Amino acid sequence: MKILICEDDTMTLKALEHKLKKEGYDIITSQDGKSACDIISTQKDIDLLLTDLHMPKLSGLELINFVRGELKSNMPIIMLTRVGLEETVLHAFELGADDYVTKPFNPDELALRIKRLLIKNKQ
Amino acid sequence: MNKNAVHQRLILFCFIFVIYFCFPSTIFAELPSSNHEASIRETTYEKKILWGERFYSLNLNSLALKEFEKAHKINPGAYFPQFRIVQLKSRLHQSSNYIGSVELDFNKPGVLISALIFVILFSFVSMVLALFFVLFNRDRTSKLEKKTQFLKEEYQTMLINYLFSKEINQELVQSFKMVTASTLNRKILINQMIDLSITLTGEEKHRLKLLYIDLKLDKDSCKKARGRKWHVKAKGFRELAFMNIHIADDEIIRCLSSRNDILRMEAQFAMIRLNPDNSFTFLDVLEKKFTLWEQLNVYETITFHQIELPDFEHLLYSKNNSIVLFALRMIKVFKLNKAFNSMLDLLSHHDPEVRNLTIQVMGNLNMVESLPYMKKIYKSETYENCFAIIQSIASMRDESMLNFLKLVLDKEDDVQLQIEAAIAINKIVDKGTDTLNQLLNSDYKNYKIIVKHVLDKRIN
Repeated sequence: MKILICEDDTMTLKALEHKLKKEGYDIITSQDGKSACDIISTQKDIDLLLTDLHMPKLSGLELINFVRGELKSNMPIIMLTRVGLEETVLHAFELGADDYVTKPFNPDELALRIKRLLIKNKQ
Repeated sequence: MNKNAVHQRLILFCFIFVIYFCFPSTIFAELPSSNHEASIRETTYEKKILWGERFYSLNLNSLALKEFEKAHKINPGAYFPQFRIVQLKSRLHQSSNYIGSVELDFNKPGVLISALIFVILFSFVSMVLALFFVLFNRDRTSKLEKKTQFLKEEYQTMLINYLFSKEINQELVQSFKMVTASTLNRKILINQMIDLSITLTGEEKHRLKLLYIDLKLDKDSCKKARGRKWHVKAKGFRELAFMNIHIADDEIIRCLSSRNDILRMEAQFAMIRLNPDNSFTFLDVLEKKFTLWEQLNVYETITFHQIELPDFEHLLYSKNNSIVLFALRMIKVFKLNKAFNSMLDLLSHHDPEVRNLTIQVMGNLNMVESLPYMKKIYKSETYENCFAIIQSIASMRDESMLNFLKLVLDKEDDVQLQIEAAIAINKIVDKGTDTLNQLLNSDYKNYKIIVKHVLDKRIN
């Protein structure tokens, strides 16, 4: 299973990458929305997108809009967001996001959410 | 005079300067004395001619002119001094600009030139030193940045490897201990640990805290918290707050009433993070004004760090008005309708600003039970508060207030209040617009134009 992590904070990105690699996933990383768009456009075998909402060049919302609107892809999307941004989260759900995790997050909980979504998507 | 001429003259000055100091004998060589008694005048005359010629050859025209003039006085019939005088006057006339006159009229050229040379050398040396300093500093900063970035990435990887490994990696712990020996490295490591503490929860966060204590970084933070400089203290408070370490709580409490705004805010932040059960006890004793900026910071801490909401109701009875206002704002934001009775008491608060915000919050939280009380205080209220009352009534859209609003529209002298009352009537569901239409079609009243204005869909 291949997961694209899009997160501008290096520390969070490293933590996510390490945790998910340990769970047995193939990980691709990106630190801004624009490069994530390029990766998704070129690599069709990505199974899940894990994206931060606030990123340089292209925001998480725009990335979700690109995946659902332009690529017409139904890959599961999980958002990473701060607490207190409920309206943005609602907007992301409207655009087609599947789940969200708030920072600070529990890595085990995140791994379970990813697993659940991937199984659901397979079915 | 063109630049070259100026340069030539400066070089000449330098040359004279060197000659003057190094080879005084060239200029001040004893003149051959004559024992000839025929005429002392003649000797003097010869001396003057000789000096004049020397000055003339060195281009010191002004000095040469003086010498020849003296010679001419001694021997008015001689042709040579007259010839030179005419020649020198002509030269002086040609070079009568500023620099030339300075050069020629200055009787002590050595002092000026020494000063100029000193200034030039000083400026040049200063410039070279400054250039080296800037280059060196830039290079040092750039190297430090590169080193910091490298260490940052290295420590991030080390920390993540440590936190996500199943068992505690003693080798890594030893490496961390070596890292903490250096001040810069320790600083970078602490920053990375704090970054991680913001990102993670659960088991990993707990392990991070244990590592922090194991590396004795808590002692370092405590030392900072008890330091003398306010910015160091603030940094210490932040580190302790993020790592949830309580060893300097007394110092944090002491700084809650600090005169330094930033330190006070950091202490408040640390207090809220460290004592989730009694996060806001500092508000009970705060005597200083709780500024809007502090209020915003506390609000941000509550929201983004998932702090459990305290009982804001009791703060409504605080003697510090800024705290009452803060409590009202929090009641509004978190929609704490339970505080209704306490808010009702605030309608008779001595501070109009508090009453105003209470009215607004009541309207915002749709506390319909407050309407009779608002109606009651309307007459005795300030203009701003009357305005707030009508706006609150408008937001509640309660039919029972229709007559009161009609009364305001009819009897109120202020047009703005009349307009607000008409808008409030218009907002009352079902009946509002009909009532305004009825008022429009009734006998002449001065408010008809206001009603017409409110009903005009192009404007509202």
